[in-house]
Amino acid sequence: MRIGGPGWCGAGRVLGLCLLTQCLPATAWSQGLPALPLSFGHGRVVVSGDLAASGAPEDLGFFNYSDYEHSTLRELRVGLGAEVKVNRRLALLGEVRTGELSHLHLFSFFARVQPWPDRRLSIQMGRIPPTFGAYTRRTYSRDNPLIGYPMAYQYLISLRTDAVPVSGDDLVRMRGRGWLSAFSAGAATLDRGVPLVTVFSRDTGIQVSGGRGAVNVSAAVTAGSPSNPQLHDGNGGVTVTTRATLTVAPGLLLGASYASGTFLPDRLSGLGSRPQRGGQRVGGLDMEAAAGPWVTRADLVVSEWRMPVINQPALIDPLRAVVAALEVRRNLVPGFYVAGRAERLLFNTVPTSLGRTSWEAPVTRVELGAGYALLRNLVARTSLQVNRRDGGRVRRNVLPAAQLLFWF
Amino acid sequence: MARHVRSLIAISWSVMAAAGFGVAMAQQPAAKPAGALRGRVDIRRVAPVPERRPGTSELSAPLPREATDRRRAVVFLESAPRGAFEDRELPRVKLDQRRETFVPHVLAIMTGTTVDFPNSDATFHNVFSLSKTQRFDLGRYPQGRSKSVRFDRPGVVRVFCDIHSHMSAFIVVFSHPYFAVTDADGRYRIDGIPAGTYSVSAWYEGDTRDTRSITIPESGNADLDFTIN
Repeated sequence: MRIGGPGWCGAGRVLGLCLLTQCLPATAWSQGLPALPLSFGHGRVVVSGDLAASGAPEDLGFFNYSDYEHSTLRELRVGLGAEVKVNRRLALLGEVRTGELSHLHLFSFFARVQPWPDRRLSIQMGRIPPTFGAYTRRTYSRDNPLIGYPMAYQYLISLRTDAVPVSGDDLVRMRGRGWLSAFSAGAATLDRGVPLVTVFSRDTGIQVSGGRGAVNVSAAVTAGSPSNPQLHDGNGGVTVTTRATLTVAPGLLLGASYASGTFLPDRLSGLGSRPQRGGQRVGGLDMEAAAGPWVTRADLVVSEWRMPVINQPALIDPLRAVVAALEVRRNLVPGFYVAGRAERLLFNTVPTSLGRTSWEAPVTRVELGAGYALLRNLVARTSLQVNRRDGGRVRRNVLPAAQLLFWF
Repeated sequence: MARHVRSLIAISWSVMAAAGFGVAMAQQPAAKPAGALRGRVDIRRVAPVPERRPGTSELSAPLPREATDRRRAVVFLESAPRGAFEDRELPRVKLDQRRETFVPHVLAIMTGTTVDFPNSDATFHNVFSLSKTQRFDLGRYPQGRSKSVRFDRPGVVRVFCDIHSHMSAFIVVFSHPYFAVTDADGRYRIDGIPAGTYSVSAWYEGDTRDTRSITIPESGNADLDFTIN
């Protein structure tokens, strides 16, 4: 879905937002801004919203890009979520998002069925929430203490779903070029790569979740893969994802996730002398510990992709990437917090004509930030992000950023 | 010099009055035989219970919440009679966190009261307030634990949970004891008011909605009803 275009000018955007806000019920408003989700029909329809306006110097190393044109540190993002409770057992949920107020897209839309409403069992169908990992389901505005995203879910590596490297040399040529990558087989145009697990689009499929006591388990079958969610099945295969969490003690949550499925379409998997299914397997462990003013999170994601064996030096072994991240947040005084995140992204080696080398450029990222709540749901944030990459044209950059966040 | 002192006194009263729930006892009668004020607050449009944000990122539906009573208003004297500020022993009061709801939704207390915030849920809660009257953040704590805050300034304190955005409550802090929270039928009763004429207000969901004048007789009760649209 697309609204706007060249005629969708700045004044029009502002007017559109004003009209939208004037149409909303007055009861949920406080001091001119909605303070709570808007509800209609005695709570049968609930609407929430997020707005994030971020500014930062140009990211010349493309460390924070979610595609070739958009940096996550320099964007105006608006999201509207809605839930329609059809009855006790059935609800329809969806979210639309827009980047720079120009492209409106249906981010998610699914039906949630609760066969037994008082039990912890839900079945979700449609463009469903991600099953893998913990971060993928966090609300950016309320639950991401920094402006940047964790690398596992945002940083673009060189692999693409519509083009494949024909050899180790072809692959390492694109080290550090994830924002604009090209390989010798498949699509000839330059395009962005993929993150290990993306948070910028949703997969289509069916998901079952349930729990008992301190344990929750979920499983999903989807058309795409964690790196490349799909609206329709484009590769003749599906991805199976599972996740289990254990609440060890109040405030201490451990999670484990695993996904396995098809990454490349058949026309690319079948290339070369030894065709092999172009699949992706991802495993992850996550932890959240909270006490008093502290919240600590740790995340480990290991992903591997299989590529077709085409030319020498051949890519016989899976391409592997590992990200480890540690995030700490502390509330200092009411409404004011500080946070930090340290991450390291590593890759395995592949054969090239010059010897073995890592197939992508390892990256280290450290981000420190602080947030101050002007209102409960209006937060000003600032951060300083330092990136270092062992490859690519820009190997190091330091990016200060500021952001205004509003949600209801 | 005396003029400056008078100006200072005048300013002081203005500031206290501007506090909303402040006091102005200079023009009030001295302590007299006490009567009671009683009546009913008819809320025509009950504020809706805040819904959870649509769980478009959740793997499952959340469990049902406690149903809170949103029909509670607070009735109070705008100005307090002399003797209202004598030292008295204040009980500790409780604002529970139960099934992702603050119970009760409205709490009216006197300055100097300590409020306990026990967590009765299996999940963490993080009570905080950014209200000008009193800012606090109790951090995250588990089921069975309680933290407390002493409220020393009159005013309205909006309380939230940092983890569950749909949780909210009001603590209305008065510098005198002449206030009451309405019951489920909207009825209230304020006892021990010295005879005299007072301004009485009805407060509901964050705003003072109506203010009336009433004379409390030397003995017996005065009746005053409010309608909030």
